[in-house]
Amino acid sequence: MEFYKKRAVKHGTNVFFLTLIVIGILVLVNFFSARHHQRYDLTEAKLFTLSYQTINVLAGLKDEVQVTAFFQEDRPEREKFEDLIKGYCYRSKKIKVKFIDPDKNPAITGEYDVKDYGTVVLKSGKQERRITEPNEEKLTNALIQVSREEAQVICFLQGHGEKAINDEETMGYSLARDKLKGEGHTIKEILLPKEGNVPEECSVLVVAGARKHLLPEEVKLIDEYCLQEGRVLFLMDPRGSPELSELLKGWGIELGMDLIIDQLSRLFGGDFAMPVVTEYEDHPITEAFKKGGSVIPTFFPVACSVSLASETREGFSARTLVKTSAGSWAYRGSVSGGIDINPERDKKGPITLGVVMSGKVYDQREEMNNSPTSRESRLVVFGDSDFATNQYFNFSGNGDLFLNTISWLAQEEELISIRPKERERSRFYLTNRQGKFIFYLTVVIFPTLIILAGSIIWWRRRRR
Amino acid sequence: MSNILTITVRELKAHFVSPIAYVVFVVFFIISGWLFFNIISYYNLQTLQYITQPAMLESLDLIEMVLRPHSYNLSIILLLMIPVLTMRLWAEEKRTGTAELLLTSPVRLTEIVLGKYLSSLILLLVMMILAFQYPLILIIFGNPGPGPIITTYLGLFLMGAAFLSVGFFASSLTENQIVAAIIGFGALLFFWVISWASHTVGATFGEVLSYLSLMEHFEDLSKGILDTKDIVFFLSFIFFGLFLTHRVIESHGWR
Repeated sequence: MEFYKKRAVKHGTNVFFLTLIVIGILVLVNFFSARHHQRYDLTEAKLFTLSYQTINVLAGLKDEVQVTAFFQEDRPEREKFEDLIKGYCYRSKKIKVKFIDPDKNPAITGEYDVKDYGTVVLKSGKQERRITEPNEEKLTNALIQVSREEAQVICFLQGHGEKAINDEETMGYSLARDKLKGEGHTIKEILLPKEGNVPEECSVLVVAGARKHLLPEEVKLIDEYCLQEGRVLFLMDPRGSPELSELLKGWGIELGMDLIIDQLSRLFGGDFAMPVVTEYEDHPITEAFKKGGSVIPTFFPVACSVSLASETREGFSARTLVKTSAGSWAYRGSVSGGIDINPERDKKGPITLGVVMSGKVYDQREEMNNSPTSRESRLVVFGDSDFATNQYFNFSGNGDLFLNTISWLAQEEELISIRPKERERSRFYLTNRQGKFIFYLTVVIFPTLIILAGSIIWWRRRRR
Repeated sequence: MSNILTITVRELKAHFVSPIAYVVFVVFFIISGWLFFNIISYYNLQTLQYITQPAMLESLDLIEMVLRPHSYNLSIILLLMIPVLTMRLWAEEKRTGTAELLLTSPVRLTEIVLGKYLSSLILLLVMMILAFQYPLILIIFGNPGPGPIITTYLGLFLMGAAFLSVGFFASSLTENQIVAAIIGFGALLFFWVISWASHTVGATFGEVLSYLSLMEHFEDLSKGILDTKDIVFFLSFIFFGLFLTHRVIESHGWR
């Protein structure tokens, strides 16, 4: 008896340890396979494979990128993004992902200052970028931007009564400055006569509401800068620097000698001279303003019209960006003593308030070498500089419009455009008859056949 | 090797003699057929509704909207049916007393284990082949891509094989078939819901939990992605189930 018991115990212990060892081996095997695994995308449209551009970017990543995605749990958008980012993580170990449900974690969501579902924040070192409604193109572009080592320098022109970035009063641009710094940019004020030319380090030049005269040399420098890969944001007020108006005219952008009046803005509780914009053209700067059916309005206190001449400089193309409503007017009369609209003198809306222009000067050498190393010039002109002042920066979409414009201007390389994977159009039309046929076949006939087969075998056994 | 096959054939014959396999098949196909029909009816309705909106029409993908949901339905039905199929494998031997006969025969225990498992695997394979009627209908009337169909059914088969190994193990624990089936249900449900907690517990523990979930590893396969780590997981899972069963049966010999 004792002998038997001992044997059982010994056997039991053996089994126990053997089981532990097997578990250990399996855990190791699985751990290893989870780290070094292969994924094969067998879908027709290669929906889960990344484009070669993304793969290149991922291969070149040097620093770690922290991706924080704010999605509600169990939503199809979350799953879609999870599929997307899984592909990224598979290609690069430097991507680290964290999902946060804004509903369950309002504190963290507030910390990141995230306001919309579907926002993804990328952080690498000191750079930060955020995107909404992510797709492969946006995500990869954000990745490129966030992994760049140098910060962008945004230069603000000074010396002609422009809005000051260190001015914290209502007409100052300190809020804009802080927001830009928050995005990882460096801000600089420049005086052209002192600098001699627009500094090399400037990624973007901002002329915010210049009112006084510019020296001819200054105008020339700005013009040259625009020609050679320049990125400039002109915020022009009614009766701003006449030299700049001339400069822009030469580029095919005309500033109206008018004031935009908008009755619609009264409904918003604003002044008649503060037109509200609810119509945006399709452009990266404004695409976030018309999401999902609702439009975010922007307000432009005391603005003039901006129109495009029929001919632009060779190699450049321009489009309108923002327009006021149909109930607005480009008023050319006097303001003292009330508004007196004259349909013959004044132009009826919609009036264009902002335009974008981009292009490149044709360089024969470049063409011959077949090396497009220079980037294109980009200009954005708004007929108002007050919308981004401290007083109005946080009004509705104003701040975002300013920041998006700077972002677009600051982009180093051409926007990588990745064509979205197209699912093949599924053809599946069933007629009533076909539907019925399928029903009877799968739900009735087929199971019946099985029952028959079983019955036959059972019956044969009984027979025997 | 031939020993294994002999056992497999013996078990298969036993399967087909008992009414259980038939009932399981019939129920499985009635329910899955009914669910499939529902899904394609709804899909058809949506196609007709969106015929004037080509943008929406593009999002109606046969794989995403028909095959995937249907495959999840199938996996649930499998989860419920498989413990019933496996409950008799070991429990019956013990009840009828043929267990001693088997264990004292010159056939090695490993061969017995493999042979029995193989028989239930073949049964599963037959079920999968018959369930191929659904994608077949899709192919006849529509144009789904072949890749996702292959991975989905591979996933269903592997997952089913994993389910089988759990039911297999459950059956070895008791001589009462009903108890075996219930233990099987319980264990499979456990592995199904284990990932539900993964979101609330800490990050690493959560990852471990969701890795252990059988459904997790089916996900990529149901979309058309063949990932080696999913295959490795299923094979490890099956191996472990069989290993444990082997231990349990072996230890019976010492009691």
